Amino acid sequence: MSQPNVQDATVNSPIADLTYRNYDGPLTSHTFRWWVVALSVLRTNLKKPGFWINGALIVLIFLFQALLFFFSNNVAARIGGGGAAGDAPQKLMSYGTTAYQAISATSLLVTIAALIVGSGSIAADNRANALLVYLSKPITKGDYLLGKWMGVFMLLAGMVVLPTILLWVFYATTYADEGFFKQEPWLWAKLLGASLISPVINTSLMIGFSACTKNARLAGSLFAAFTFILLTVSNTAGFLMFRNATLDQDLGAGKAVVRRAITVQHISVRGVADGLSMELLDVDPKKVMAGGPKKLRKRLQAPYPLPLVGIGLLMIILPISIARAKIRAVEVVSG
Amino acid sequence: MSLDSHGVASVENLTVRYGTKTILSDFSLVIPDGCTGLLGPNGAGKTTLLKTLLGFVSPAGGRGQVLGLDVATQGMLIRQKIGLMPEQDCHIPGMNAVTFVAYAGELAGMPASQAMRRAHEVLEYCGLGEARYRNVETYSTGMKQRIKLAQALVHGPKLLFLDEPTNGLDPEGRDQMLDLIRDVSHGKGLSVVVSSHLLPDIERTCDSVLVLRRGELILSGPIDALRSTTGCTVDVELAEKSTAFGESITALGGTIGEIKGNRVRVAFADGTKGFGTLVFRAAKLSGAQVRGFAPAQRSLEDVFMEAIDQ
Repeated sequence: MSQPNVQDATVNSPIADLTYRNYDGPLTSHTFRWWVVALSVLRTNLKKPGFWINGALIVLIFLFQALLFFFSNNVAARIGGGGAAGDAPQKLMSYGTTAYQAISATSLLVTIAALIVGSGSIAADNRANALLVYLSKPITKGDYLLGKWMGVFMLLAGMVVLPTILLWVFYATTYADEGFFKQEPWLWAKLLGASLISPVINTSLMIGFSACTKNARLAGSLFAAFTFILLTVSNTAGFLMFRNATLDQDLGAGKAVVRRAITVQHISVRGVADGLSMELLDVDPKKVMAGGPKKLRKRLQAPYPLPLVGIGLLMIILPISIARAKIRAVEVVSG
Repeated sequence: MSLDSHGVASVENLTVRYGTKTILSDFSLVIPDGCTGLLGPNGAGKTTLLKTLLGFVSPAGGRGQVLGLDVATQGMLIRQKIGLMPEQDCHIPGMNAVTFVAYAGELAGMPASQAMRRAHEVLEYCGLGEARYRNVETYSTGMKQRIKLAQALVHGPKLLFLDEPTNGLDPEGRDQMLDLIRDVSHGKGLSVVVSSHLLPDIERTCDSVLVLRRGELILSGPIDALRSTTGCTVDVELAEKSTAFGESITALGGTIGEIKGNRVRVAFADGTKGFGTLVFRAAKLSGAQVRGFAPAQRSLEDVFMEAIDQ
């Protein structure tokens, strides 16, 4: 092994200069120091096959929905004959509904991807005492957390946003002649918003769980358990409330009781993302629900958006706050 | 003591509490330039002091400065100029050595290309040149200690904090690490603070020492000055052991102290003139052969034990 001092360096290795020199070179601005952390998360996770498999499945889902949209509209155009001259042909499915169905179908894959790329994001650092390395350098806890969050978020968002953009490009190139830009001038923004909801919530929750433990598997398990249990409980409670509400409606109660039940059904990671996407993309829930008794389907409504916004914000802010409190360079006993 | 006092770092009336337990109470010190040893038994407050200077722990009272920057308000600027080699194993999971050290450089604000070039340099310097592409998780304890030093050095700090740098090292690894510390802390334009409870490590690498006990500074100063003895005390080296020499010295008014092999410590009363002549006279009387003598120095262990016992 090489010796550190100058004398040995010259004797053992005439080519390599093993002396210590000080560094007085350029330094980057502190403003984007978090980007170094985010870039490291990206580099580490882009090597994982699981991430790419999930990404490929999401692309397939979007491709399937696009094909379904294309063929169903061709069929509609043939049956309907395109309406009066100059009118756009009637569509069986709207642009927004198709995009909603694609985005909604990817939500489980986004959750799995969050497990793959996010479970070890902070937990592995906790295990390896890496926070001592990070926080002894000129970066703040905020830079570290933002870097980790952005790294995971960019990966998850990329998985959904890129196929969503491709779907929009498909709409724009195929249906421009049919007045697509006139009918849906802001669809691109709505699609962007809808496709980001699930990645934002999943990233925040995963980062929160990851910061609470030193074990990536434990963090992943806690996140998966939380997501699954919340989904099961909200679905069960919402379904029971929905049934009772329909009975009440039969007895003369207003539509609000049903909508309340449907909102309860959406109190989960997937539910919040679905409910808000539905609102953003102006989706009629009666059109997206396949199967089930026709009587019940007729009574379907979109959930109330405001409670879902509140719950969504809670699912974002609370885990980030917990993570921020947990990130410490050293253990400080406060008892 | 004033914070304007010279030195690379200083604290004034510093109080640090963990919950209800007070670790440092109304504590003041100045860390001088050069290589300084922070000595003290376990629980003395050495690591807490380093954590406070780094801004990891918020003090309950008092203030401090590092390289002229206020600990309470300029933590970021301080961390730009310092390097920390922590006591615990630490690395970024899933990275090889060169990526890890370059990443540490980028975290410190170095452009990626500069950080990578510099990572290769410091890894060579720390003796990890051949293992630079190995995952850090596969490193031995000695290599992990070296890489901790490399990541602390990569951004060219002006002050280096080394917390128990020889922990878990075998004798050869310890020797190499101490050589590295000695080398980096002398003539390279950076000051080093070595926190340790191993006296030989401090004695070998540092120029001055700060001794802590239960959150109090009990001794500080240059090691040479602390080791020097008062009065007229000399270490006499004889050709071979001689009890007669001791008797002759006693007869001439001297006192025999510690005897280590052929080396005898002889003390004369303060103000004794010509004690060199007395040593030679005693040698002549006893028939012993004197190889040499020099003013006696205490070991750092003696100094430390004396300070701790007070």
